[in-house]
Amino acid sequence: MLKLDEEMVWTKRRIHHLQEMSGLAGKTPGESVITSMGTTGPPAVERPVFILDYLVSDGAQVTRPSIDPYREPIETQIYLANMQIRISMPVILAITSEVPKEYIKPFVRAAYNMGILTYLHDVQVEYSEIEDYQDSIITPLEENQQGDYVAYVGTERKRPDKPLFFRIPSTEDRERIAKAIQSEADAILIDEDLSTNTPLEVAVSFVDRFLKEYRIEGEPLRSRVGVIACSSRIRGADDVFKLMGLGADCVVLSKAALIATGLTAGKGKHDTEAVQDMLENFFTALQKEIKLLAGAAGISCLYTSLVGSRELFRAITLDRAIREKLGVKMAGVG
Amino acid sequence: MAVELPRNLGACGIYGVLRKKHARKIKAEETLASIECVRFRGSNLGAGFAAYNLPENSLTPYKLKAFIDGEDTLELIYRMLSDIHNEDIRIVKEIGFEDVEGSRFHSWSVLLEGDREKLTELVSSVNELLLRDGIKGRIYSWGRYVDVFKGVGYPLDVCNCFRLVEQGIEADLWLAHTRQPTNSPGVFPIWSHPFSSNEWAIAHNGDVSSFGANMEYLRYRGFTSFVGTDSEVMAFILDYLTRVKKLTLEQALVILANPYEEKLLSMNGVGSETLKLIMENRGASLDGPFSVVGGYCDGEDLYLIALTDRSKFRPIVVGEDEDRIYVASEEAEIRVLSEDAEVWTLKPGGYFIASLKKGIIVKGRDNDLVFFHNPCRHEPPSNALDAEGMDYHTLNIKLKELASKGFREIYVKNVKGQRYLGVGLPTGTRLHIYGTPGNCLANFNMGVEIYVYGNAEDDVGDTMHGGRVVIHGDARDVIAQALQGGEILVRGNVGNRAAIQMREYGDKKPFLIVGGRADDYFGEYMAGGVAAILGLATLESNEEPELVGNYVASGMVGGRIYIRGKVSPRRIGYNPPRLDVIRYLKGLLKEKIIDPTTYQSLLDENDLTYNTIKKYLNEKALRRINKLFINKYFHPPTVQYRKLDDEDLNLLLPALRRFFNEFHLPDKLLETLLEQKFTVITAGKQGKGAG
Repeated sequence: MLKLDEEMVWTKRRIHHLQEMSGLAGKTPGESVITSMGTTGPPAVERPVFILDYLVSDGAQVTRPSIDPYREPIETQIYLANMQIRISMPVILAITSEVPKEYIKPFVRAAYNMGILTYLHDVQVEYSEIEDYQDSIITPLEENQQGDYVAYVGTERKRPDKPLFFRIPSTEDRERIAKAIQSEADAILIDEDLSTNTPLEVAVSFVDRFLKEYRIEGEPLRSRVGVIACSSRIRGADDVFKLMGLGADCVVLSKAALIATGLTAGKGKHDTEAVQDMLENFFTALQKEIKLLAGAAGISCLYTSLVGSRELFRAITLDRAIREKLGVKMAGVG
Repeated sequence: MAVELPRNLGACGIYGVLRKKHARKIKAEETLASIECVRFRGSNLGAGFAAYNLPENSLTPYKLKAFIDGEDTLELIYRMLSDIHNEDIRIVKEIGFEDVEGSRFHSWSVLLEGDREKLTELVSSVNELLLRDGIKGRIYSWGRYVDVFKGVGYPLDVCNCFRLVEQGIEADLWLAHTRQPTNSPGVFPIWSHPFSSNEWAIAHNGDVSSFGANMEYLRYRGFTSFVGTDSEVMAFILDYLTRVKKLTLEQALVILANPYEEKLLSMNGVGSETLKLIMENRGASLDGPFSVVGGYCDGEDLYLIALTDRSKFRPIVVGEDEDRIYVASEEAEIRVLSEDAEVWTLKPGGYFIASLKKGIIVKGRDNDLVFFHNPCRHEPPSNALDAEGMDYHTLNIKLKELASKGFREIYVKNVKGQRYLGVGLPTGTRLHIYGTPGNCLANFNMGVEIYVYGNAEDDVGDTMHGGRVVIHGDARDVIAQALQGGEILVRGNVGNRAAIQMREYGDKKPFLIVGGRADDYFGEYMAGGVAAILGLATLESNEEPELVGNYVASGMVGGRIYIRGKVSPRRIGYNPPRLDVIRYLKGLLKEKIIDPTTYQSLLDENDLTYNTIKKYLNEKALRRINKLFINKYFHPPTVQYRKLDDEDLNLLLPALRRFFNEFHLPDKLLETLLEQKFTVITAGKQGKGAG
C-alpha cells in the first residue's frame, strides 16, 4: 500500500462517523450521520489525503430535482458476472488477517444478510464454519508468479463453474490487465493494497476505459466484465460513490468495517452477535448515505447512471495529468 | 463580457404530430400554431422543427444539413464530402444556403447517395473537426426521410427563417420544440432542438442526470463529437440501438426508460428479459427528469414516440382523434388543432409508440387503466369573454378588469393553455372556464370558485387556502400540492403526485375528491386534510383495477386518504426491494431465527411490506429485519381496508354529496359507493429507530 499517515486517513471525525453508523457510538445505529449544511471535508477544510478528496459531485438543482431516498426509490443494486450475482449495494466486505478469528462468522453473516459479498482477503479460514454462506464468499485460488490470482464465488477449493474474479494490483500495466481478460474473468478486482505506485483512482479509471476500448464484435468488453475497486483505505459512502463515478461497479472495504465495530487492535471484546448487529447497522447506514449522495445528484439508479459517469464530477486543484487520466474536468468547466 | 438577456422563467415545450394513414399531410402552420401555444415555456434561445415524409416507393437521397460560419468551413465540408478516397458517398445535388436568424451561421444543405455507415462515420469526423478550434459549424441532420429546421429564436422566428409556411411545407409527421436552455447555451443554432442522427430526431424537456454515463456509452461506440445536449445524446443512443444493434423500437425505448428492477421482476419472464437487455446496454438508460418526443423512420413505416422518466418529473400528454396522433408538453397544444382528441398522460416511466401505417402501438399506460372521462361539452353563455389567441398575461389582466368592475360571475371561452387563471381574483368571484386552462390554475386561491368545463393541466390549486375548483374532465400532475383550505373536485382522473404536502391548520381542512384514478405518489408528504379516490368508472363493473399507482402516502405525517377498493400493500409508502427482504429472511433462516415454514409462507406472499412480515415474524426476527423497513425519518403509514364508519362519513359525506351534486350524478350511485370497502390510510406511528 502507498505509504500513508494512518491518522490522516482515519481522522477522529471519520472514526466517530463510522462508529455512529454501527451504533458503537451515538444513539442512531443504522442511520446516516447528520452533518450540517456546507462541509468540513477535504479539500476545503480538512487536509486532502487521496485523489478522491479533490473530487466533488455535481449537485441536483432546480432543473434536475434531488431525490429523497427515504420516500422514493433509489436503486443501489449492482449486477456482476452476467447477472449471476446481484448485490443489494455496491459494496463488498473484505475479511483480512486483522479480523479476529471468532468474528469471521459474524462478518460473513452480516454481509450475507445485507445482500452483499464477503471477500476472503489473504486470510486463512475454517471453511466448514462458513460453508452455508458459500454463495456470498469470494475465495482466492490459483496464484500466478506476479501474485495476481483468480478468485471465485464459493468455498469448495477447486475451480468451479462459478463467477471468476481476477485480482491485480492497482496498475496501468496493459499486459497485466490483458492477462486478466484472457483468464475470461467476470470481473477485475483492483487491489490497491498490493500496489506501490498507482493510486486506486487512476487504476480504476484506466481499467474501466481499457475494457471499453477492447471491443469484441463491436461491443466494448466492459459490458461483460466488471470492475471492482479494493483498498483498506476506503473510508465510507463518499469514497464508494466517487470510485463508482470513475468506473468501478462496486468497492471492497475492510478497515472501515473494523473501525466501525471497534475491532481495531486492542479495542476490547464484544460478543459475536453484537458485532454482527453492528455490522448490519453499518451497512444499512452506508446504503443510506450512498443513496443520499445519489439523490443529491438526482440519480435514481446507481448501476446504469453512476458507474463511469465522469461528467458528474469535477476536480478541485487537481493536477492536469491526473485529471486527464481520470477523465474528470476541472471545477468550473461547463 | 457576456450578458444574459432577461427572459421569462419557463421550461422547454415539446410537440409531435403524426397523421393517420387515411388523413392528409400536416401543414407547417398547423404545427407552428401548436408549439406557439406554449411559447411562454421557451425563450428566444432556440427552437426547431423536424418534418418526416415516408416516400410511396422510391428511395430518397440523404439530405445532409449543416450550420456553417463562413466560406472556409464550407470548403472544408465540401472537400471531405467529395474526397476522391471516399468513393462510398457521392453528391447528388447541392441545395445551398438558408440564413439563420440572429446568429453568424447559415444553414447549408446537400443531397447525397451512398453507404449509410460510411456517411455516419464521415459526419462524425467532420463534426469533430468543426468543433476542434472554436465553433465553426455542425452537420445537424443527414437522414433520408427527416428534414430538420432549427435556429435561435422562438418557433415563429425559425419557421419564418426557413420560410416553412410560405413554401407550403407539409409532412406526415412533425416534431417541434421551444427551448429554455439550462446546461448548454442557446446563443448558436447548434444547440437548438430537435437533434437528429440518421433517421431519428429527438426533442426533449428536462435535464438528465445520466448524461455522463450516456456519453461514456456513446464514446466507445463510434460517437466522437458532441455539442453537449441531452437530446443529442438520446438521438445518438436510439440511432445506435436500432441501426447498429438492430433492436426493435420497443426494446430501444424500454432501455432508455429503464423501469425499476422491482417492477420488472414482478413481471416474470418478460421482465427478466428486459432487465437483461438493460444490463447489456448499461449506460444507454436515462435517469433524472425528462419528457421526450421523437420521430423515426425505418424506410417501411414512420413512427412517433414519446417517453418520460420514472418519477415523471416533466409533463407529457398523448392524444388521438380521427385523423391524427399527438404528443405534447401541454394538452392545449393538442386542443389548438383538435377539440375532440382523446387525451391522456403517459404513466411514470411510460413510453408511447405510434406509426403511420399501424396507428397507436403502445399507449403509454396499462390498457385497462385508460378509462378516460370525456368531459361533457358545456356551451358557454353568449356573453363569455373569448380567449382565442390571447396570451396568458392579457387574459389575466382582462379577468381582473372584469372583477374590478364588480362582475362576480365571469365566463371565459376558448381557453387554450393560458396559465395562472384565477390567481389574484377577489374572494367570492366565480370563474367559469370553457376549454383547457393552462398550468397553475387557482394557485394561492383564497376564495375564488373556479369551474372548468374541460380538462385542466398541471399544478392546479397549488398552495390554495380557500375557495373551490370544480373540474369536469381530467387534471394532470401535482394537483392540490400544499392544498391547505377549500376543496378541489375532479370528475375524471388525476396524474402523478396529486395531493402532495396537503395540510390543515386551525379550522382549515382541505378536500381533494377524484372521481377517477391517480398515478404515483398520491398523498406524498401529506400532513393534513382529506384526499379521496372514487374510481366511479368501474364502480358498477366487475373489473377491479387498482385506482392508484405506487408510493401512495409515502412520507405521510397527517391527514386522511380514502381509496375505494383494496390497494395492494406494496403500493403504499416506500418499501425496500423484495429481493433484499428475501435475502435477509434467508439469513434469519440460516441462523435458525425463523423456521422453514415461516420462510416459505413469506416467500409466497405477493407483497413483503412491513405490515405483512409483522404478521409472521417472532419478536427477535422482527427486531433484526426492522432495519430494512424503518428508520428515523420514515414510518410505514397505517392502512385499513374497511367500510366507512360514522367518523369517516362525518368527515367525507358532505364533500361527496357536493361532488355528486356538482357533476349531476345519481343518488343511487352514491349509495352504491358508500356500500363499498375503502383503503383508509393515515400516518404511521413514530416508532423506534432500527437496531
